[in-house]
Amino acid sequence: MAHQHGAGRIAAAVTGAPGAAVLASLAVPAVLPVPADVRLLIAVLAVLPAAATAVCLALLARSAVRAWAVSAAVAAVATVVLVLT
Amino acid sequence: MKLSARAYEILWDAHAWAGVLSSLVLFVTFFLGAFALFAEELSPWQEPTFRAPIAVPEAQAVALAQRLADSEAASRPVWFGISLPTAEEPWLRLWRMSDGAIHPLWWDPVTGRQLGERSDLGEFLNAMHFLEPIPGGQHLTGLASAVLVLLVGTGLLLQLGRMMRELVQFRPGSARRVFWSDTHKVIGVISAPFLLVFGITGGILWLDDWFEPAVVKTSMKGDPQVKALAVDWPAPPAASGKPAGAPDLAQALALAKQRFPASEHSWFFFDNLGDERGIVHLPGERAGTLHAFTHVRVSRTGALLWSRDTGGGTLYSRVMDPLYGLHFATWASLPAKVLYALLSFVSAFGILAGNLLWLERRRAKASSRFDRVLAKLTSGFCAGLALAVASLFIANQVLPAELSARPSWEHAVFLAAWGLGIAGAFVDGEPSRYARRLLLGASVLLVVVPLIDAARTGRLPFASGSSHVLATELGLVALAFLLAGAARAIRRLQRPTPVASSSTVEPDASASVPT
Repeated sequence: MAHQHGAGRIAAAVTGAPGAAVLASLAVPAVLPVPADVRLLIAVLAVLPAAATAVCLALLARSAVRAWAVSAAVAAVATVVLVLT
Repeated sequence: MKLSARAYEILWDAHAWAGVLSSLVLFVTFFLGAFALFAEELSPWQEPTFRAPIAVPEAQAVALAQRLADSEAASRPVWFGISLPTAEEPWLRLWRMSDGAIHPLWWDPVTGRQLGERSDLGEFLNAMHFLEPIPGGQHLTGLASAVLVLLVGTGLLLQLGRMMRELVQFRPGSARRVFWSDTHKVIGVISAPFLLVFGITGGILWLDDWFEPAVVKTSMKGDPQVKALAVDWPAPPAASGKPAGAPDLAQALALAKQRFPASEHSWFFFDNLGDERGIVHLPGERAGTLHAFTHVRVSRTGALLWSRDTGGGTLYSRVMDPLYGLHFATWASLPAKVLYALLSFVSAFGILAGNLLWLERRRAKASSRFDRVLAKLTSGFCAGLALAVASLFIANQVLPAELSARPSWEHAVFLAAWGLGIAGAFVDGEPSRYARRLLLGASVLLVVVPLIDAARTGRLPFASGSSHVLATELGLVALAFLLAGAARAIRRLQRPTPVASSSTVEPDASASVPT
């Protein structure tokens, strides 16, 4: 394959990005002004597509640093939301 | 709309690596998924005494169930179950829970005698569908389901701007790489909705273990009552500690039938049996709807405590129940289940085609050790699974009916055949030849199974008089032909073919873009 992915970006795609997606899938329903059953529904239906999208975006990132930085930022915001709610 | 060359390459690599690393588990899931669909219908096949019609009227079976529940109440189990005779299983079945697992026991509804252990072939194949009997297997299957969502997503992105052309592009006379590429794409696109439903629902079943508790903690403040309301599934009343008798089962059944007359009720599941606050739960099965199940809970004193119509009463239950219905095919009639099974086999073949495409691409560039191991694993794991299934059906026929721990012996035969199939791939030097032999072996065994059954039961093959048995016989023979056809196709594909040029593979793509 002509394209060289780099270990850093692959590591972000396999660990950081899906981890951040899981945290985001917990955080977003937690702040949505909807009933509890809708929150649960959104969380369980969204988490796998979100994780798959996150993997793709990390691999498509311009650099490993950017892939990790975005993953860390999403994870940090999600964690803050989860701590505050 | 088309992806840029860079995005295409990256997503192609992601699709290929994720596919190769999850392919074997996904193959098992889809191949055995076809059998899991018929777990109940296989009962009369796996246990010939089940081929008789229900020998007692419902009232007599309920009276026996009442006696069994009354005697079980003394031990005050937290959970206990009884199923009434059905067309597939005309005996009474008791479900006891111990050591965190459910252990079934059979009772003759005519004599009221306890019977020995019987084959659980259908249930075992259902459990192997998500690798439950293998330590860590459920998590592996759940993870593979999550990866399947990624595979469907990346696969569809890779097809942007190409889908219509490649959907109708199949060149069986071309080089093997082209053949597997076309096969993988055509099957992948056609079965994408099916794969996505199974990836998401299979993944969600896995999420129940670890993600759902996290959602309850973060979105419901960890309150189990809020979760119970959200999923429309309240917890049963806690035990009081005061001993009491079992609920009146005839009265509970009458209440369930009155509440849901269109449902079939054949189960009694007890919470805190033998306690003053013990209850009986009667699930009902309704045909012709994606929301297949109704539920009724009746107190020990005969009061209707809770009922749940098909689909439940919340948005969550109304969305998730049909999704599970789609996964488990609870809504499906026999023809629809056969279609599901065919789609399962086609999906398994599509997954296999992806691996073979990978191997053909890498063969052109000199295979690595990883590729050689992958080729042997693909051969032994996939063809070995077919042999293991055939061996299980043979074991089910030839093991003595009264053999102690009979189900365990059948499981051992299945796992041993599969293990030997995998190990043999590393002894035989040629993976395709080895796969061909295993497939032919499995095919022969599957054809023999109905003959053995006919000889054992003193009848002609395909003339048992039971629709369940006939359907199983036809299914086994059809699978045998399918496997023999696969073996023949492998032989044909091993013949020398023209080397694919990039222009043959992808007439309008740049040379650097993989296909």
